[in-house]
Amino acid sequence: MTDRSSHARLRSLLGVVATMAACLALAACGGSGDDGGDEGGDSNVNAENWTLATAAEPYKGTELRVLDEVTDLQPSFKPLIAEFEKETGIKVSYELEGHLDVIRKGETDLLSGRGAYDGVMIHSTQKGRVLAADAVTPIEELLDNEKLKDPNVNFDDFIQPLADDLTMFGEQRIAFPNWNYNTIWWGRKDLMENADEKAAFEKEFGRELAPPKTLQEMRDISKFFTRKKGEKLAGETLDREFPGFVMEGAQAGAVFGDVRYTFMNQYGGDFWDESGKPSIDSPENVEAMKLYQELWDYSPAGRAEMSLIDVPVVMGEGRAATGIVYSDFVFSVDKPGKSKYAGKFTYAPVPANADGDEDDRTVATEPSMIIISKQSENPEAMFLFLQWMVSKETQDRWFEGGVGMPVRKDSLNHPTVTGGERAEFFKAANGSLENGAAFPAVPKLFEIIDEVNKMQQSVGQGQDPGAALADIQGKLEDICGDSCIVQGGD
Amino acid sequence: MSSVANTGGTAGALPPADSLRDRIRDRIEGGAFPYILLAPALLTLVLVGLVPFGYTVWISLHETSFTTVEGWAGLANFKELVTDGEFWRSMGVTALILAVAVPIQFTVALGFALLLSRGVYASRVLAPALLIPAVIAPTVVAIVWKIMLAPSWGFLTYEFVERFGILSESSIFSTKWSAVAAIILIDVWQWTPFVALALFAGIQALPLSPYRAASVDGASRWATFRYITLPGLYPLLAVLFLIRVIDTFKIFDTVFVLTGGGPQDATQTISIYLYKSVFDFFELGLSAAAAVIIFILFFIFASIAYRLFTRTLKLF
Repeated sequence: MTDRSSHARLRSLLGVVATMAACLALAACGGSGDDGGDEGGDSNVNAENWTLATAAEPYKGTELRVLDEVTDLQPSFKPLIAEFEKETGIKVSYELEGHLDVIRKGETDLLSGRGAYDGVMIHSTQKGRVLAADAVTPIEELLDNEKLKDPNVNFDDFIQPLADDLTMFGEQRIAFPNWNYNTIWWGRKDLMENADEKAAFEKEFGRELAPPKTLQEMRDISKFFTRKKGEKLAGETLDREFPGFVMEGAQAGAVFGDVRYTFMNQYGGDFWDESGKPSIDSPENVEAMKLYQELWDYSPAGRAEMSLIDVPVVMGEGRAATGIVYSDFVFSVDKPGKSKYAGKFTYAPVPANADGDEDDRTVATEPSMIIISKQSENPEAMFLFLQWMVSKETQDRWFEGGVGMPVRKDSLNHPTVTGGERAEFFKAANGSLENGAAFPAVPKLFEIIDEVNKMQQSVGQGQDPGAALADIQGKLEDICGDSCIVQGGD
Repeated sequence: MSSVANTGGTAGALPPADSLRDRIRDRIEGGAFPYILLAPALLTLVLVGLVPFGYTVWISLHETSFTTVEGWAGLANFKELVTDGEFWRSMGVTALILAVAVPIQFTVALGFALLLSRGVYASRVLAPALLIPAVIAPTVVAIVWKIMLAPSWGFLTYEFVERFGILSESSIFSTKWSAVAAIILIDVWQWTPFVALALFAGIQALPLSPYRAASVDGASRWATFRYITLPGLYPLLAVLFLIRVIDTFKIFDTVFVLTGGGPQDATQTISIYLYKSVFDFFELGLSAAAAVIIFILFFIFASIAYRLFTRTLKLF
């Protein structure tokens, strides 16, 4: 008997004790108190007996082929898969591809119905397309199968509302959340904590120099640190221009997320209205893009060509003071031997709009899921693998490696997250995740993204935001017709 | 040997079975034989060339939903495409890169080839080294240039362009004109040495007697080049020109890695446009129609070029 099986038995025993205690306390044994109960049938009965090994027994010998994205997160997770294989007898071929490749390769497989993969990682941006093509096996029925459903995995335990935003389509659950990519603000600690710079900032802005809580504070800090050649920065004379702020700006990048969530949404605007009709030229969006445009003044001259990979490199080289970055890219920079500034960054959640409504508080996140292909001949085994991925035990083991990103609420309290060397980083990421959101199901989202990415470049390079948004409004109407969003899922 | 004996000595006297065998043998060794030899190659050509092209034409005439071919669309995809400004802008960008890069490559390459043929120092080492840029995978070329030209961290950009404020408030791939110029420069860097090497080989193969006669007649260097070297290289130049035009028209990898078609579609070549249509937008019908239009344009171009080279200039 393996340690893991013993552990599972112990967990079952604890489950019995907990259930009995709950029965005594509530004098009712009917409900589990979370939506896992709703989806999992009589989970109290199930909880007594359920083990992964037993659930996987009928699928022993099955071979799964899974396509996932490679960032610093997945290679740190990959070694754990051997444990799943050992416990279940299910073999998993876990293939990793880069961001664009996983989109192209995965979508082509899903949309063509070729079915080379049982599970394919998709970003929330792809949801609309794969659902419109009917390429997904929803997990609703699998969650209702008490032989398969682990009673300890419940959707209430995931970081919400992000998880539901991502994995629900109408009333249907389509997947488990797997990767919570998110953006954070970061700055060079040596500059942010320099006594002369702090004094100068306080003198100019009348407040202490500290990680920003609002977009307007972020703008002030960016402006403050933007210096000309020959000026001084932390006592050193600069031999070239120094930008105070850096984030993405490339046409073929992920900047559309920042534009939508961090700027437009926080000003009360969006790409579309509640019915899905394009409304990108709203006055709220014009205001948002004015601030966005101003930030380009404090950015490197080459921001229009900066992609996901350029931003961490620039910060890692110490060639900008602050910026917004996808947090998973930080792992490859803020570690010993990778950058001379490793250990010298300070982090914060992406700031809120000071003039915005609390209800509009959003941050650019890219929650992602591994969906079960409609063509998969092994949906049950695939379900067990995905469920195992997001179980508390697996997530805890993964965090022990030091490189992780929470999808579960309890991971927020993991010692690595709260007390490790990256505590400040995780606090920032968690703060962003609390305000994260996922794209709705938009079949033509990639056409829209292409237009938004071009629009933000032209605004950044000087075009009047009102004119740019009026221009793109017409394009979105051409792309979407009456509605950009596909409704349904019931 | 035996067949010769049979056919030569016993005509008309053989039993019917032998006549049939002989007739088959005659047929094989006669008119059908070349076709039998050609059949494998023709079959391969049909399978790998014509079948996919035929399928592309078929898709271009249908509506598509993601990767599924649906109802008959007639010429609707073509109609939509010819009125799509982005398609023609992409053709324009490609034509611009082609119109600037190819002449530069040929001019510089010819200069290099002449220099090498005059026996410059270390030419034996230099000549094979010229092949290096051409044999590097285009994606690797793009990554190498990215490392040199990336804003704020690229070696050339950071140490020269930004240090000396050469591109004030901009960067190489941020501005439309400089992004296109950089793509052209990289294409010239990669392919000029190959053209130079080919022309060097061509010059080496030219007969010496006309040069001797010109020398006896006291012809100047320019006259020798103008009336002997250049005409001698025309057939090679024509072939190289065709290869480079076709290759440059297909430019994809370097642009994809370096700019993704940006800023604001400034470097979006027709290959990038097609890639986006298929893999970003899954517009298979439109993409197939674009491929057919490009094929037709190339067919016309190749026909005109071939006619020009063979009939007007009489190069071949």
